[in-house]
Amino acid sequence: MLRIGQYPMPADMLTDIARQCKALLVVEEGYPFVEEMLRGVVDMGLTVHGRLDGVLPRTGELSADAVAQALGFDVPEVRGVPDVVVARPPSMCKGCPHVDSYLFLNEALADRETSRVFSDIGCYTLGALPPFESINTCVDMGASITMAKGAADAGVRPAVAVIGDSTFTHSGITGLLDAVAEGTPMTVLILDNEATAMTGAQESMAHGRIEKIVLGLGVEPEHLHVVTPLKNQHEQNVALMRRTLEHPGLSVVVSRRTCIQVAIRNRE
Amino acid sequence: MKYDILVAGVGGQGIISIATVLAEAALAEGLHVKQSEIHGMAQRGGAVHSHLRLSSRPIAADVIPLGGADMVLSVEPMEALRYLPYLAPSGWVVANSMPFVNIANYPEVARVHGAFEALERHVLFDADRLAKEAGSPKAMNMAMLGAASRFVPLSEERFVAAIRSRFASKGERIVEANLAVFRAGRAAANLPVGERIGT
Repeated sequence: MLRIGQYPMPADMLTDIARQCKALLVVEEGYPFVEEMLRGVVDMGLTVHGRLDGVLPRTGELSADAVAQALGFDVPEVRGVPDVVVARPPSMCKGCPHVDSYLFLNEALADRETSRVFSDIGCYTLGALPPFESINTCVDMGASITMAKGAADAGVRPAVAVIGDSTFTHSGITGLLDAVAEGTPMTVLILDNEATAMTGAQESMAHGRIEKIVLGLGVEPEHLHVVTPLKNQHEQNVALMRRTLEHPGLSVVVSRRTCIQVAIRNRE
Repeated sequence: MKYDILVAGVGGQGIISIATVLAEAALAEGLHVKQSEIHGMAQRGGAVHSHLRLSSRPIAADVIPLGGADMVLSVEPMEALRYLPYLAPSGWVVANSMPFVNIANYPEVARVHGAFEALERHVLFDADRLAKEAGSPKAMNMAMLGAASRFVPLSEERFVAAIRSRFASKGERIVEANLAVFRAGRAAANLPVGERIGT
């Protein structure tokens, strides 16, 4: 058995093990990276098994049972999950500021049938699920702004990007600069919960600097708005959101309230 | 000796506490312990579970194989059923009958409870009510631990000591409250044969 712990690939060790074997089974999580590298390199006269030839499942996590089966061990017949069981997807916390943000966004977009909302990676991606179903698509970190820009360029109105404060720092800034440079008609809603909440509430590098960054990129000051996502400010937030959606240029709305888990922790 | 327990429930129901107390009791007994958790979404009401493996010999794998769990211990009835593929043919299911309804399409509770009838070895009781009656509604997970303690091959004293250690920093009153619920749960799993459904 050879355990590859780091790249580049240990060519000598791989050649050595390949010489001693008739077949190799490559067990790796994610994409069959090592397996693809091995095919055509060390597979002269020996068979390479793995995710690519179906000996291991092409998708999904590698469970102990999947690996056991690939090694030829019998996998016992087990009980099934009763039909009555339904999926229990995660949802946003009780008191989460994103909930109020999606509520005002949804209401502002209710009569805008041609709108599209592009979002990003974070707790707020859960806004794609019921009861909100606010998000039309999500790809990777920072893509909300670039996708919204692409949609706006292609004529989608209103085009909305929803991105969290730390994702904005990570890879949203460049996309926004592009939109500023081209005066793209779109609305960027930055959900600023003052934390990288999904991974344990680390502080975002943009903490306390979001407006400065947005203005520094060149967004017009009169089209940068800051709101507080709270039930008692819902009506005014809806009204502001409607106004920004009607603006024929670029607007940024920062919806700021501390992550409820951080707020609870701070209180304790 | 080996004993594999799959602990299940919904984020925030105290699954990690159960697993920690069980692990500590087993360590005090001199057993090898492996514990792995899926808790990324724990704060957001999703399904969560923990694999806990106890053995007198060193344990190679962190996770329990399908059909290998000696017990599925769940603080929520539908979550117990979700992990049945892990249950060994001779394994026990110990579950709270009180549903945690945070999804719109939660099935009819009678159908969830009905699915337990197909399981030869199970204990299903209202741990929320039991914890409330014992004076600590928040300690439902300790009622489940108490019921489980009937089957896990560790003495009652080991569990009591582990609970004491787990809650010591919160003061004697909290320790005693948790112990009271633990004992009530332990008693609940000791109904005479015939009164306990499916025994």
